[in-house]
Amino acid sequence: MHSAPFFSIITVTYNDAWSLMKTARSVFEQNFENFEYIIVDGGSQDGSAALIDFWKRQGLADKGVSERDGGVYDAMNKGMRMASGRYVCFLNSSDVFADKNVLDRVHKVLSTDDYDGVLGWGELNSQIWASWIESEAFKMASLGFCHQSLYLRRELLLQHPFDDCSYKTDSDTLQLGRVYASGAKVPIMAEVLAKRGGEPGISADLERTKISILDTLAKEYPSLSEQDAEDVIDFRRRCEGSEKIAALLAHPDKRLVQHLATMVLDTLFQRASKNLPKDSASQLMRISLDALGAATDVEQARNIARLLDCQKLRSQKLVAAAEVRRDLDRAVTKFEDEEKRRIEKLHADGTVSSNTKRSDFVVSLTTFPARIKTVHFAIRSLFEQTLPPKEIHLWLGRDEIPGPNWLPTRLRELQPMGLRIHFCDRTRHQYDKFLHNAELNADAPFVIVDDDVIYPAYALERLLDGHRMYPEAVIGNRCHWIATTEDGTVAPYMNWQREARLDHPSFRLMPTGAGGVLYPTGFFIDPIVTDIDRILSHAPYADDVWLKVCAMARQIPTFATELSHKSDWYHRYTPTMKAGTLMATNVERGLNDKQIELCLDWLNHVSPDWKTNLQMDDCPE
Amino acid sequence: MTRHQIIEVNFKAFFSAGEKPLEFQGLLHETLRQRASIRATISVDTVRLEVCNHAKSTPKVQLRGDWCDANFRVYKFDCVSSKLFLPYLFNISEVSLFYDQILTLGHSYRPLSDFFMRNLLYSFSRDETFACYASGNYKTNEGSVTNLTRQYFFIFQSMFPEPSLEGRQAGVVIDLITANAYLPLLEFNNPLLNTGARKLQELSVAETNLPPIEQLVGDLNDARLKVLEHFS
Repeated sequence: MHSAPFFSIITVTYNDAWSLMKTARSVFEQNFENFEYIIVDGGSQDGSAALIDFWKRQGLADKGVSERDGGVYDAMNKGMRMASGRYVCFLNSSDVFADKNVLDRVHKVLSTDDYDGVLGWGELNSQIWASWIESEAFKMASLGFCHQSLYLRRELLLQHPFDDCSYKTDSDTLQLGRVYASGAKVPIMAEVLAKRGGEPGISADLERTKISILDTLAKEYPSLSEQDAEDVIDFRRRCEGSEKIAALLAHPDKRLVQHLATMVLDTLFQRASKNLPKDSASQLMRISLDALGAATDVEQARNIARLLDCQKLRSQKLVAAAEVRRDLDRAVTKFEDEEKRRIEKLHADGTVSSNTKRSDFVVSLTTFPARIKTVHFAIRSLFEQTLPPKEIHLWLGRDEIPGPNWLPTRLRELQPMGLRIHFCDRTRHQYDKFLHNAELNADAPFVIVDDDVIYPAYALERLLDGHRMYPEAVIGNRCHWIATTEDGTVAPYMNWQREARLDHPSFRLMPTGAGGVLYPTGFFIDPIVTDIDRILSHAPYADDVWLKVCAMARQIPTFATELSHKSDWYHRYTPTMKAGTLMATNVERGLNDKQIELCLDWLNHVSPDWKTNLQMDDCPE
Repeated sequence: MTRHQIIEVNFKAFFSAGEKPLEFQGLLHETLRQRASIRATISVDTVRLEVCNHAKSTPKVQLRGDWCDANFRVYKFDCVSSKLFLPYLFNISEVSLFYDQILTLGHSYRPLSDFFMRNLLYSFSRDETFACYASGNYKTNEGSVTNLTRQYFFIFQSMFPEPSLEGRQAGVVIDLITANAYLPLLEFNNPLLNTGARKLQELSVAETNLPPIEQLVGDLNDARLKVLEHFS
């Protein structure tokens, strides 16, 4: 007999496969394992089904459905009904857990039978939702909280489903208010448990949000007039009309006043209140504290003490986050000096020259917010070459980096040198390197590189030398030797020999992006290489592996340049190298091996001889 | 050499110097090598010791457990004098120390419990910031949690040789120190301890005499301005 899992983690998604990648990976990385993972897809047409299939095959996604639904809350209700865990958390597409121990920590708290759930904090773009009140007041104008950090007993959720009317945008706050009103014990966990994705959700539609909140206010607070409700929303959103709110706090409806007072105090700690003068804020505080009876009611006094503690903690966390950013800025400045000296030396000793004729191939790469401050170092190193490229193409997703104004000056300064910056609507992560510009490979070789490596001055020349010798082969500056077991199957990735080379092209060598990889003319023109469904179902997190099997499928071997040697290959990385790396997931948690296995299964169908090809070379010394 | 990340020891081995497991040295090396945190968690039937990654934004000393009285939850332990009394008001079932909080490596004649409590006391003495997570009744071995408090007491007593802490059973004195957070039951020669005890007693009184609205407005304004600084 199977016992119910402790948690049900539910992800609702629609046409958001590449964001779902981030969310599913974050679930996969959790150290606590007693949970089921449910993905509710609204019938996406963008490859989501392939990705869900990938995670099902890894045993992560236990249940899944892909069919049209009536919107996000309808889908969340559907997921809730599918759940069998004791506690349920909704981590929707593009949201992630704050770290890999979140479920472990929440489990520790919930292991007592006393609680019906916990409400943690959430983060979005370095800002923190610091929930502090455990009360029905959440019904009042969407008192903010991060639903991704809320864990509730399944039975409780079933008793209080999301209001799934098509115009609703505040069903989560309304539900939480109802849960507290029912007397449920859902204490605050004053720590960030989830990070919301950057994509604006339904709450970004201000008109629809207003309609939804007005509807809630009318139903929950019948004594509030329509105009009063409008005033409440104006105050909550922009901190405007404080005198009207002060007057409302004298309303005879005690419950309404208490909820209003709570909302006012919460709003005074939000960005919207920034321009409210201190005197006005103090006056509103006084009236609200009076309305709550904070000077006489111990419970209310404790709530205020908790508000103070939570806001102090929030402030400390913001200070710590700012300090981390300053540390990075300092590291970047130091690194910039080092790079400047390195480049000056290259020019001084004649290794590189600004007059060097450019080659005819292009280099392509992608990056993401955590590395946007330092990607210019990698790109600059690719221009400061003995054989510079014709152009370097940088691909960015607008969902992560909205536009040119978000780019650091140092990066924009490289455009006259031949940097082309492209924005696509949604990031496809590491696959952005070649999914958008395959046509550039029709008549010339194409080099893809990583965004966190300082490439040695002769890196591109070595690739081109290799290409001249073996124009049909893939050329890598850093290759791994694919180890096999006695029966000829591929050994675990951890056992592969790093930085290996042979004096001829071989199927046994797998190039890695960190060294820069040159693909021969026409490689990316084959539609299979850019087949998104196939990528998402076989190697969503391992572009190197995917490109290697695509090469094997077409009998294209790899040649390792002389840089692919332990003593020659030196790792000089930019200061953000560790940010957002897939290393821990892919290597330490074995996700690379799972993806390799799926890719080789596919290879069995399209190129059954691959095993024979692999056996053609002996392991290098 | 095997790199130890997690070891589990029985209670006797945790509290007895003679049974200190050899693997602990490996765990300690790993903590220092990785610049990580070392954590001891008392569970129902064992003590788990492990090396943990440490998020930069989190305090270097972290405790989990339960408050002896829910009212202590709102107390401010914002200075050395009151921090030193914390282990008498909070039943610790988990201690996590960042590597730079390890000032004593644990002599062979001292048990593991001493290692954690002694370093904790040193951290408090340096006024390090800490986080206390009291989120419910953890499934722990209550006897061992109590023993951990006693361990702290013995170190505390040796550091602060106070007549008022002598001559009675440890359990009785610990109860008195806890009660001293409400009422002045113990006199200390050491002014630091007297200050801490007085601060806790003032907090206790403050808890029953709720602060006036103007004080709350002042506190809220101070907290608000600090938060709003980040929105400039």
